[in-house]
Amino acid sequence: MHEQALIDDLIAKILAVAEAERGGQVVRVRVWLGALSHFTPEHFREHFVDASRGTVAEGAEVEATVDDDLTHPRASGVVLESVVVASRGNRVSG
Amino acid sequence: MSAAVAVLGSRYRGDDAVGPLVGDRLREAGLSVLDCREEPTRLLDAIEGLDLLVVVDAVRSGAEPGTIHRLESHGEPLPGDLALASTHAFGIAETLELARALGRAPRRVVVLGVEGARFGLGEQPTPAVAAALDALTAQVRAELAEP
Amino acid sequence: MSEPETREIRTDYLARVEGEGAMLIRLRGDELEEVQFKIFEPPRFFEALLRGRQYTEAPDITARICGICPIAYIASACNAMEAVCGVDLPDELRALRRLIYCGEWIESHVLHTAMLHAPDFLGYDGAVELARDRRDLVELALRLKKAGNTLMRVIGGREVHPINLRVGGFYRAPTVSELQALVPELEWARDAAVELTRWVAGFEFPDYEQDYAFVGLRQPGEYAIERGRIVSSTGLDIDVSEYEHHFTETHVERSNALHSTLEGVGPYLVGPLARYALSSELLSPLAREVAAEVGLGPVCRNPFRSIVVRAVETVYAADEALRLIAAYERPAEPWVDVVPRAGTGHGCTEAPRGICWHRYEIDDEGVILDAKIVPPTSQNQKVIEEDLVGVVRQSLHLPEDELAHRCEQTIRNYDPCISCATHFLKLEIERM
Repeated sequence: MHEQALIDDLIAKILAVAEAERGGQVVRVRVWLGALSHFTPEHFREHFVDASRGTVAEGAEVEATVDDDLTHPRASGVVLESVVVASRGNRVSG
Repeated sequence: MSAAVAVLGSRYRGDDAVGPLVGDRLREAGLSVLDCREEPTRLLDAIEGLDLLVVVDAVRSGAEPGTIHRLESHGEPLPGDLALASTHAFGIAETLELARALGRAPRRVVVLGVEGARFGLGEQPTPAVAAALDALTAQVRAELAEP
Repeated sequence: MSEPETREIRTDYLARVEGEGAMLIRLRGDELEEVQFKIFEPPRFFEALLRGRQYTEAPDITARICGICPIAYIASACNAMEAVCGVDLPDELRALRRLIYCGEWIESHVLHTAMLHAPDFLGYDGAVELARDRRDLVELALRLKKAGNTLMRVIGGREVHPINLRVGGFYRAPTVSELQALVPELEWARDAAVELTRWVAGFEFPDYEQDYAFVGLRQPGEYAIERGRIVSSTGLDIDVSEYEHHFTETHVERSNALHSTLEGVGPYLVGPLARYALSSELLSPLAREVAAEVGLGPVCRNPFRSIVVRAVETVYAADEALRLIAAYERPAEPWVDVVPRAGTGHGCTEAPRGICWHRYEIDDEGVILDAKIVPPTSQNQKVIEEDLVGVVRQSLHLPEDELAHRCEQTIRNYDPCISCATHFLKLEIERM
């Protein structure tokens, strides 16, 4: 299914980002949903919950922005804008 | 009044089959149907001088699968973004625009675009699209019955 | 407890789906990092559908793979079934198969050349804009395309999905007068194709060449269409049954795409440029004359000029159709009996986009046990990708929309519609 494949691709990207950040838990993801992307935020969250189960992205908060511009060049797409990862390192907070 | 029905699409590509499937139902009911599979420019000769052309095709615009989009044109370009949403390289909107540019456009055109979700070879139509077939067939007949 | 420390990593990553036509160009600054091109969807569905069906059903079933070139699939399937059953088609039926194939070449080449590819060179978005400015040319192209359609309808019974062809020949052979009636329009079509060739040859072509390995059919005494041996510009010369000993399809990492390669050579090109390079001396005198007039040498390595070669082949197809009709005598029997026998057969013909190869294994009852189909676009996929890399490298200075347009134009050098490959093409340029 189209939506499932898109989500799977996004999860793969999220996990790769988390991995690059030394495997921290994913706290939040921000996504942009194009006007023609087939997704409502609820719909997207449902898919995300299913697809992230058992990964470091499980339980992450989904912040979805819906764009209503039909002529946007990415109108049919879903964009992962950013990933917020809990730091495991010993960085000192400011 | 001279009128014709044209269906577009491939029977073997999931929801793209919606045109041919509606065509089957219309033929069973004794209507004649122009079937141009995946190549709408084949319509150009058949539609010249018609009063009404009704087109059934699958589209992809982001709406819920099974949604029937209805577009009507009385000689002006088709409204909306169907040109982008057609599932064919040289789409129905382009074909009708070409017919207009060449002075061959039917007086009135109604496009019934059915929102599809999957188009892979060998896939079945999605249930929502299959469920829309009856309504769609009835709508084509109603369009033809209108004066 | 304090909030866990977090870090936000900006990604701006566009999700994508494998399994649909997709092209991705990834640039890092002004450097080309990656080109991913995937249009080919192997006809596995049809291969599976064929298993368990009768040998006589293969032409009809495979004809549905492509809405533009059904005859290519029908003819390749018929050739393969006739080969496995040990039948050699009589000359007059062979000629009729070639004649309907000429109709398909005309239709497909004109659609490709005038309606889909030419607007690229003239700065139009598509044929509609072209028609507004040059209605005469679009009218000419449509009439020319229709001449091809008519030829297909008269011999094939229907133009969209021809039904009159069968293993062993035809259900019904056209009468001499039915074909003679087509002559005036085909004579017009031949002249119109010459005009079309002169027109497209005057376009401005990007300065780009690749040293392709050309692969196509070659048949003594005629420009190969419906039969021939598989030959290459690298010296290959084999029977179609030996194809799988020399060509392999390999899976591309990270996708379900396949790339075809010629053993010891690598990627290769099929289609008009290849046919022309391998057999241009076998074109009709008129087609050769036109090719010379518009400055095509014996070999053309600029894929953008394939539009010119396609137009020359359209001249040839009209010319050849006229020759075949002039020589036509209605065969006493429209088909020869093809009695099934267990074995494996191969068929290969020159579809408008390049060789279309089939293999079938059947049993004594004619039941298909196994089927394998290699369409032209699958074979060209790797060279298209290489062309894209070369073209993008040359065009990095262009604004994004022009770069995207140049890429689409590059793809249209090969396939107007990708209809036998996949359904949608999405182009994405990612700058990092």
